[in-house]
Formats: sequence, structure tokens, C-alpha cells
Amino acid sequence: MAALLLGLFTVTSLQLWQGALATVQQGQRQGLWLTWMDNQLNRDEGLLRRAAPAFPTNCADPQQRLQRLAVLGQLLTNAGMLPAGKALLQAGPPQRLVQRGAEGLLLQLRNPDQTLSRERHFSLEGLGVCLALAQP
Amino acid sequence: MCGSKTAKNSRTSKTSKTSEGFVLPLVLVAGLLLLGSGLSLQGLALQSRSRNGLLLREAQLEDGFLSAAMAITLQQRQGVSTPGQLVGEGGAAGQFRLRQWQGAAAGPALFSVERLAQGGRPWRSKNFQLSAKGVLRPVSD
Repeated sequence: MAALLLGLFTVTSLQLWQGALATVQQGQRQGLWLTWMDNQLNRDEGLLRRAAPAFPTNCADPQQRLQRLAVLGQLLTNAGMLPAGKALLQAGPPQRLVQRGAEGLLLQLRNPDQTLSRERHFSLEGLGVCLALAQP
Repeated sequence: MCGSKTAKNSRTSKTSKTSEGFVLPLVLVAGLLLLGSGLSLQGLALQSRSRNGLLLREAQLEDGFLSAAMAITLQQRQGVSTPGQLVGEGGAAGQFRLRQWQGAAAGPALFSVERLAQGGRPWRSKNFQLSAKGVLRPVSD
């Protein structure tokens, strides 16, 4: 009787520990992805903010807007992604999308299993690219 | 001889009964301790996972504020923004609106963006500054 109970308790506890270990590992991976996404978004935003003054634009001209957005979007694409640790890349590479619209750039990040996502929208007006804004 | 054997058996049976009476509670206590430790570990793990969820939501909220401020700046420069106008599609970050704009539409300005809760009630707000060069930055509280 005692041996049977001990066996039952041990098996159940082992299962609980295994579940807890898996949850901890998943939590650690998620934490690392969150840090990576934060770093990636801040790096990309910094890149845009540093590059913006070099591209003064007449934002009232739709053609110029589109050209500047294309240049800035290309800048982001060329900069690529920050390296992620080997442990993170086991599940596959993350997704990084740079979408160019008429109003600005949309930067989207997703982890490989698509459970975590971040996105930021940047407009030329907010980046300080527009010529009219620079005039006092 | 026979009496001696019976006495011996009786002693063994008594010892066995005493040992059983001792082992069963011990096993129960040990088993409950094992289960308790497993459950508390599981609880800690779940707590850590929910902390990650909270961090993600906070980060998405910050992204939403910045994106809304960028969109409001664009609308304001184009003269199509008015306080109270909604920005954002109600996705992960939610819906935002311009609460207050101080400054000229084309010059430096200080403005406040509001995140709306379900039902359209204001939930949280954040201030932004638009410099003379047109660079948008969040104002730290």
C-alpha cells in the first residue's frame, strides 16, 4: 500500500516538475525574444531618426514622399536583423517586415512561432524629414 | 518449543504492524511534500510566463502610442486632425485619440495622446513633443 502510494506521488510529482521545467524554458525563450524585439525596434528607429535629416523632403509632393519612403524603407531592409542567439534560432528565424505605404513605414516583428509580435509605424512628418517643418 | 515459536511470530507480527503504522504516514507526508514542491514550481513557472505576457502588452502599448503620435503628427500637418479623432485600428495596441495639441499645426508642438479602453473611455495617456526641426519624441513623465 505504502509503496503504491509512494509510486503514485513520485510519478505525479515528476510530471509536474517536467511541466514546470517546460514552462520555465518557454518563458525564458519568450523573454529572450522580447529583448531581441525591443533591441531590433530601437535599432531600426534610431537608424531612421539618424538618417532622416539627410533626406529633406517636400512632403506636400506625393512623388517625393513616395521616393523618400522607398529610400528609408530600403535603408531598413539593407540594415538587416540583429543576431539572435543559437538557442533562439532553433525554432527558426524571426520575421521582420518593412511595409511602405502612402503615409509612412510600418515595421513588424514576429518570433518564429508567431506568438509574439511588435510593430511600429513611422511617418515622414514624425521623423523630421519634411522641409516645411524645418523652417522656423 | 511450539510456545516459543508462537511468541516469536507474535513479536514479528507486532513489529511489522508497528512499521506499517509508521511507514504509511511517512509515505503520505513525503508524497504530499513532493506534490507540493511540484505544484509550487509549476506556479512559479506560470507566474514567470504571465510576467512575459505583461511585458509584451506594455511594449505593444508603447509601440501603439508612438505609432499613434506619428499618425497624429501627419494628420495635423495635413490639417485633417482634430482633438478626439480616433487613430489606430484597434489591433494589439488598441485605439488612440488626440487629447490635446498645444502649438501651431506646422511648428513645434506639445501634444497628448490617449489610449481608449473598451467602451471608448480614456484609459492611459502619454505626452509627445514635436521639435522645431519636426522630430517627434515622447516626453518622459
